[in-house]
Formats: sequence, C-alpha cells, structure tokens
Amino acid sequence: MKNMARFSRILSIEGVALLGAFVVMVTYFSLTSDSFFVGDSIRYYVNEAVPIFIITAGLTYVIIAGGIDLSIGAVLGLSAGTSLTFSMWGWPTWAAALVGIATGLLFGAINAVIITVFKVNDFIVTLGTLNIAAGLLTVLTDHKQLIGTSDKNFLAISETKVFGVTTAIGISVLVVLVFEFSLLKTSYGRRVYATGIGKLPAFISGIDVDMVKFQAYVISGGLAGLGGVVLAAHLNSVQSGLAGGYELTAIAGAVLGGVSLSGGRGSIWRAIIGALFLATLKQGLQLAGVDPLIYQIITGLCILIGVVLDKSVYGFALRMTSKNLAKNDQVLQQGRSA
Amino acid sequence: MKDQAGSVPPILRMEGISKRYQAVQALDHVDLTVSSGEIHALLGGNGAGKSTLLKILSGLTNPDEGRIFFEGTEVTVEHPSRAQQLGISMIHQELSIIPDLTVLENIFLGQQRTLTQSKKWTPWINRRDLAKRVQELTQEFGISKTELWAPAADLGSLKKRSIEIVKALVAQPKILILDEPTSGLEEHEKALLFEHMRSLQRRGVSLIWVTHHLDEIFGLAEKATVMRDGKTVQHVSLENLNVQKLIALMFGSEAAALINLTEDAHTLEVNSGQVSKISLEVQGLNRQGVLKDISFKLHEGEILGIAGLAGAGRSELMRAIIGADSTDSGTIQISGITRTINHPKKAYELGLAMIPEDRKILGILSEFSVEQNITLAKLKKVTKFGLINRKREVQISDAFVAQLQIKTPNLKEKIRNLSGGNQQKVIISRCLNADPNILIFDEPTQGIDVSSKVEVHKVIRNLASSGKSVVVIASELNELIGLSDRVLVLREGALVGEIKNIPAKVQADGYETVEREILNAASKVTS
Repeated sequence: MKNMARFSRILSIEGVALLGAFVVMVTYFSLTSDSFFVGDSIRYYVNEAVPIFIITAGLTYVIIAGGIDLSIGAVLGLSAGTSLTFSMWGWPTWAAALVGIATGLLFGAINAVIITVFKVNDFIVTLGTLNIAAGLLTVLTDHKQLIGTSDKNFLAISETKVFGVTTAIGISVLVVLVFEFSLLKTSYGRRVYATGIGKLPAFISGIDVDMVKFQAYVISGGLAGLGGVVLAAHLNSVQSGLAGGYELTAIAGAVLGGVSLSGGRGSIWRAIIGALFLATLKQGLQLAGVDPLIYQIITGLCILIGVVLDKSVYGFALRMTSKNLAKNDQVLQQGRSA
Repeated sequence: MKDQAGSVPPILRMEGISKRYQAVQALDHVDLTVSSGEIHALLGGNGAGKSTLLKILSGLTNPDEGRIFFEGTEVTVEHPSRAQQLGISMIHQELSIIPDLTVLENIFLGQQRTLTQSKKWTPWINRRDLAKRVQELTQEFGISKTELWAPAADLGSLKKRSIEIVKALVAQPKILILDEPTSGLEEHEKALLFEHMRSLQRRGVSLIWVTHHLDEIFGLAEKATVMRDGKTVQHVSLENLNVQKLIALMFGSEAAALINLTEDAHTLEVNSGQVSKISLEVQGLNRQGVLKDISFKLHEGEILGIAGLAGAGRSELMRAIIGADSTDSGTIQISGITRTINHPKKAYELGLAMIPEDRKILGILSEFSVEQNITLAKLKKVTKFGLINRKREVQISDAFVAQLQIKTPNLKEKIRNLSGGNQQKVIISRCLNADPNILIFDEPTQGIDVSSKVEVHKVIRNLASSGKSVVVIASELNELIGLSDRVLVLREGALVGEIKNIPAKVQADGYETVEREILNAASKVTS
C-alpha cells in the first residue's frame, strides 16, 4: 500500500511524460539527421528561441496566479521597436535597453490596472492591449523596416559570446533561475500559487489576491520588454508584426510543461522545457526537410497529445492517492471503535 | 400513521430511497407519499436530505436504491426532461429568472415540449400565439398582458415568483415542488402566494412544500414528512400538531443528551458579576438588503453563538466584520479603538481570524500541502528577507499537527487527501498561527465525523478559557447551545434576540426551553 502511494506520487510529478517524449524525439532526430545533434545547430535554434523562453517565464507567473496574458508577444515586438529606435537615435546602450523594458512594464501595468481594479476579464483585456501594442509597432516602424543601430554595445547585449554561448542564452537562463527561485522560495511565490489554487480561500486567509495578480502582470510585461530588447539586439532590425504569435507558442509550451491553465499548478522550468520541446521539434522537422505546413500540424498534435497524457496521468495519480487515503481512514476508524 | 384513506390514491410514492455521496450517506431508505391535490410539507434541518430527495424526484440526480411510483406505476426519473414528461415541476429557492428576457420568454424557457404543442406548426416561435395561451394563467397570478412583453428585470420579487409558478404550470404538472417559496417576499406578498397555492390545490395539483418557516405551514398543508440525518423520521398529519412538537421531531430529543457537554463548559466571568473586557464592538452595521443596523459587543473569554435560519445573514455579518464583504455604514471597534477593516488581510493584522463555512470552497487550498495551508495566513512568521524558511515552517506545522492531533501521513501531504475533520483542524491551525484574539467559527463541524466534532469543540472551549473571544455560527442548535455563553439571533438580516447566560439557563429551565426560545425568535413565532 505504501509503495503504491509512493508510485502514484512519483507519477504525479507533472512533465514526466513530456521529458520522456523529449528524449525519444532527440534520439530520433539525432539518428536520422547528421546535422541535428551538432553544437552549432543546437546553439543556433536555442538562441532563436530565447525571447520565447523569457516571456514564457513571465507568462507562467500569470498563469499560476490564475490569469492569462495574451499581450506578451505584441508587447515584446513593440519593446524591440522602441529600444532599437532609441539606440538608432544615438541614446546610450543602457538607456535604450531601459526604454525597451519600460515599454513592457508600462503595458504590464495597464493590463494589471484594468484587470484588478476594474475587474475586467483578463482574456479580453490582454487581447485589447495585444492589438494596441501591435498597432503602435506599425505606427513606429511606419510600414518600413527599422534597420541598423550604429551602437555596437547595443548589439552586444545579445551577441557577446562567453565560453561559446551567447549572452542572450545567458540572460534567459538567468531569468529562469531568478524567477523560478522567487516562485518556489519566497513568500511572494507562495502567495502566487495560493491565489491560483483558490482565490476565495486565499482571500479569506488574508492574502491580497488582487495585489498578487497585479504584480504578476507587471512581471509578465517587464519580461516581455526584456525579451524585446534581447530580440532587437539579436536581429538589429525591427518591422511591423515582429514577434506576433509568440504568446501562443509560450502558452503552448507552458501547457505542455504541465502548467495548469486553471491556475495554481506548474513551475517555470517545466514551462521552459515545454517551450524548448517545441523549438527542438521545429528544428528537427526543418532539418528533416518536412514541409513547414506539415510541421505546424505535427506541432498541434504534439500539444494535444501532451496535454491529454499529462491530464490522464495526473488524474490517475490523484485517484490512487485518494483511494489509499480512504483505506487509511477506514483502518483508523476501525482502530478507534475497537 | 392512522390515515391511509382508501378514497384518494397517492399520486406519488417514493420507497426506500438511498443516496450516497462519497463518505456521506445523504439519504438512507427514505419514504415519501403524496396524495393527489394535497399540500405536503417536507421538513427537516439543514443537511437532513430534503434537497437530495427532491433532486432525485426531479431527475437532477439518480438514487442508489429505492423505487418511485407515479400514479401507481413504477417509474425511473433519470433526467429532468423525464420529470417534465411525467408532470413533475419544481420552483427553486433561488429564482431562475433571466432578467434580460421578457416575461413571456422566461415562461417558455426550456419548455421545448409545450412550445411544439402549438395548433399549427411553424418553423419559428409564434410569440403572439404563446402569449394567448398563457394569458389566462398569467392574469390569475397577477401579471397583466402588457407585462408579458416587459423584461423580467422590471418586475418585483412577488411577480418574479409568479413567473416561476406560471412557468411551472404551463407544463401542466401534476406535482409541483416549491423550495422555500416565500423567501424574499414581504408579508402581504406571502399571503397572496398562499392564495395561489390554494388555487393550485383546487385544480388538483399536488404540492410538495419545503420550508424552514414552520409557522407558515399550519392551515395550509395537511400532511408533513419530517426528515433528519437522511432518514424519514415520521409521516404526520398536521391537524393535531404544533410548532414545538414539529421542532422536537425535526431535531430529536437526544439533542438534550449532547447538552451534557455544557457541564464541563467554562464559566464566564461576566456571569459572576465581574465584567470582562470588551474585545469587539460592532455598531450600526448596515449592508443594503443583507444586514440591518446590527450592533453587539463581544467579551474576552466569551463564546458568542449566532443563531438564525438559512439566509438570515449570519455568515454575511461575519464576512462584513472581517472585511470580506463591503458595508454601507457602521463602525467596528477592536479593544476600544475604531478600525476600518476593508480586507481580510487587515482583519488578520488586527487579530481577527475566521474559519469559514463551506470548507471545500472557502477553506482549504486543495493543491497545497498541510504545512503550506497552516502557514499561509501569516507567512511573515516563516519568512526572512522575503525567503521562506523551510525549517521554521516544518517546526510550526509540526507543533500544530501534534497539538490538534491532525492525522496526516506527513506534512507534505496535500490537504485535499485528508478527511474532512482533519482538513478543518488544519484550517483552525492556520488561523491560530496568526495569533488572533478574536476567532470566528462559521459552521465549524459541518460534515465532519463525531470524534473530530468533539475535538473541535474542545479547541473552541480552550480558546475561550485562555481569554480569547470566540464567535460560533452553527445551524445545529444543540451544538450552538452546548458551546455558547450567549446567543444572538438574526432574522432577515436584523438582530432580533439575545439570550444570555446559556449554560445557567439550560440548567434552570432545561434545554428544550432555550431551544424553543431561539427558534421562536429566529422564525418569528409568538408563543
């Protein structure tokens, strides 16, 4: 009985199914393609996915707190636009980067105020700000492409290589570490989980659930801003529509990684694994010469299978533990009446 | 049980109905017999199983055991549409009116069967034809022709109730179930409703009437079925009964036995003339439509019981005090200082804590472990520089698990895997961890087993003896009387009674007298 309980608890660790699938996939691509499991190839596609990793971290905060943020992709694009513009105007590197992050923070704060103060549905609010941010980027770029800052230091934000790894990857690793740590180890992180698990009991227990959500949206916006700076420094060019749809990839990654869309369940590193899974899948299929239209279908299928698998494994674990507890209770009661 | 008059055959007979929800036996071989054209009262305290029985009858849930006979033939009511087909309609306690639809649209909402009974079939809904069909009926219930086309939101609460009745009647039911039909109605509106009920009876419709207002049923209902703890206690004819006898049937005479608990109850200093300090003073608390000008004081070391029927505003009062709900006016003083409490967070800071009712929804954080649940209300205690100190968290939780004898495999176990009684102890620990001076227990023993119940009672008494102030809301009167030093009675959001020195009074006048006094105040019976 005890073993069974332990077994089910191990199964209940979300993302186990995903990790398994990940290993299978990497093995398959490595065997079928010579150019897949090569340092350069890996570094290249991981580097490309860095902005998505950064917004996935912020998004995970919001989702765990029981919300959703659709604006992050567009805000990332706009932040890339503002920071590159300021850099092109000759502002110092740090100022241009700060403008990009501030753009993100501003949008995060707008989302936060409308959602927590005016109590408007988060889906609609962030859909609205998504369009505003995307529209502003079009205005900013004036339908042309912004190309080329002369500030080498600005580009260095993403492109400097340390031990063969770009700073962009370094930044995303740092973001994941810092925010995962704060989610798991600080009292703020605890309040985020509590808010997502149960808004009502958390509220009655004296947790300012609105403030928790407010902060989560600001974090999400700020990280979208940071992601924008990193992307601008990487591409050194910004055009209208940049980063559109990133939010959907981030959501898909988070869900694949076992972050529950109803809140209260998941963690950043698992969400990042989910995002990495999608990036790896894309790269592998590309190298295998699969038609881009087909790999969109395969990506969709993977998301569906992953989510269903995770759900059924979790449900199974839940049933096992509650069954055992019912048994324990019976034993206890028999003992008491004897 | 003398009358089983052969002349009128029962339209409905439910036999040996049982229903189990996980650990709770909601119904245990319950019987219900209703004759044609009879007004039949279905009575019982909260959790007696009335609503489960009615859900089974209206097809919302299915019984585990038992048989249902309708007009003499055995039937199964597996779905609400089947109930409609048989002629069983229900008027719910909460109005199911959709405010943006017109009265007419509301009446025909969800009545696919009657909609298609039109004389000539048309692919669209002929509203004019529908209006013609219900005009007579609506007029009888006080809804004019023009009102049929108005949005339902424009109508008063009695007329909304009438819409519900008409809606139930267009399906031409043989049995109509009314669940607390008078809630939200003024006195004169109630009289009108009773008139409607009589006219329904004259049409040969059988009414099953659920109510907590015992005084209403006399003179209207002929028979009653009394339920307690999921069992049928008795089928009675109401002719030679009164409210007091009904109460005894509903709550049982063993209630007195539990009262022995008061023997080891602490003695309050207030009783012995020595005045203890006032910890909480509420003055003129108002909330539109919920609370009416409530003022009371709470002393240190006192257990104050709050009595009242469902919907009297007991939980709402406490939620207003801890800042979970807003108020329109009124002041709250804690230890003599006026405070504004606009969020439970503030309440915790000021030493107020509440163990909420409805543990599963308002109490537990299901995905959190036992320790995470315990430390939640005062994370400061386990936090240093914003970081959670795991050692300290384990230490604190361990102490509570030992103190309250919480049965859990380990501290990391998710709270949802614990039994109800142990979950409740964890929530009590969460409140205690915040070191409050005033504790509010809302239905603290709801749905927990007897031994946990006794332990929770012990915790409450110990808190009071150590000088804390305790407020207890409990629907079970024997529990409330057994615990409290003083009881406040609420009715329809207003404070309508106060009974002091409960333990002394129980000893002097007997348990039943005290219980009757509370019930009379709560249900407005003048004896």
